[in-house]
Amino acid sequence: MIVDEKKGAIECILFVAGEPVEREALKMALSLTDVELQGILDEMDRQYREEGRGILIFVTDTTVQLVSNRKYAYIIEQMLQPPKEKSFSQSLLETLSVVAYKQPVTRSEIETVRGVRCDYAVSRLEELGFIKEVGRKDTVGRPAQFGTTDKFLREFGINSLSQLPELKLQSEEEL
Amino acid sequence: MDYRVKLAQFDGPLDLLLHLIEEAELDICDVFVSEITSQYLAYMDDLSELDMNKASEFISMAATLVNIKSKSLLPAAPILEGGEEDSEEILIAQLKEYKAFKRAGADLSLMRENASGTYTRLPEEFPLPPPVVNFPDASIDALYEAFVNVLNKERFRNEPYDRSLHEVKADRYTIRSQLRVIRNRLKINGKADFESLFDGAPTKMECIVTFMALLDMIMHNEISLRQSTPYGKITILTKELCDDDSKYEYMDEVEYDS
Repeated sequence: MIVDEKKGAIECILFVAGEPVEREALKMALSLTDVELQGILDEMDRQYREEGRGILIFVTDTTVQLVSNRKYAYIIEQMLQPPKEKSFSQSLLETLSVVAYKQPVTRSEIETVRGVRCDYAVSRLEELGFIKEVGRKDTVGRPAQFGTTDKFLREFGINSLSQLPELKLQSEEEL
Repeated sequence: MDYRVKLAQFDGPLDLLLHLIEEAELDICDVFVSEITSQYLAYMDDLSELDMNKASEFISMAATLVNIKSKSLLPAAPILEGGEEDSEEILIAQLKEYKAFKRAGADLSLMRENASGTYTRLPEEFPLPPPVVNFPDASIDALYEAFVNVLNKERFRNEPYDRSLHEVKADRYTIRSQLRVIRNRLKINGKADFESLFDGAPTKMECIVTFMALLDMIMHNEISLRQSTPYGKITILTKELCDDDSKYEYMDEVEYDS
């Protein structure tokens, strides 16, 4: 398969899959190495952007997904009226930030930081698909540990957790 | 009267404290030399608006604040070794951490606003059909042959007749006998390791009966158990060994003569 065909094949897989596709799965399907896949993805990303395409590829450390280009969002909103995303309540945002920065984290660890019970916020975020159970802590009761999802990265416009803004533990009065 | 935000609008006691600190333009570290405690307590008038769970979170913080305040008014008690961490320091650290995450949450909200307008497709309902499995060589005859082969395997033919499945043995271990075993063990030096009771290769029945005897002995105040650390070794300590079993009620156990 020549490079253009591989690009086409990846585009096709991503279109049909809709949801994020594991890089590993793409490598297997097209017998590519990490470097080759990364090269093709970079090339696709550049091409899509330069041509002002309606779709872009959204690449994270582990997955790839086709997403619509934000540039045309206003047209989509006029024409299709997609459901408006509601803004988050403060308790959801705080809970999400604790999960994002401290993951994997158990509910009681989140509650220690926030000083309030977080059952509702945690289950709501899980329902919305921003966090998911990623394991169990090796301690009494083996509580579930939570981490953020691909949807979290996508919704917040970053490709990996390393792009989160730095957590400022010192208050500015002290700096 | 001053305008005041309602208690119900705060997301827990830390949120309220942070609000008071910001109102007073204080540094978090100065919180306990200020009027914050009394201001916090003033908010407790609104408690009746909250449900029990939320209210108890606020009350617990109020208790911590009053405790810290009262400590600061009294002469310092001698510091006990290995005592708890200073509740004041803990609370300050907690407030700082909470503030950092609250700010991070606000940043996230901004990021989300900037990133809005991206849409994705739902996956095709059946993106990949399940692979069809074919067994081109399979036939009824082949299946029969395979089964015969399995039956003819050596291990089936030579398997000895398992008597244990067809005989019921008398109980070899009784509570009475295990009581004696444990007591004799304890008579040597007054204590024993829990695990050492199960040394050797005891059968499942022996383990169970020994354990039941142990429970009986605890109930009759013959022994007590000690464990110094969680998951650590359990030590059996002698309290008052009995020599006769008259206090014990037995299920109709028959002593087995070995």
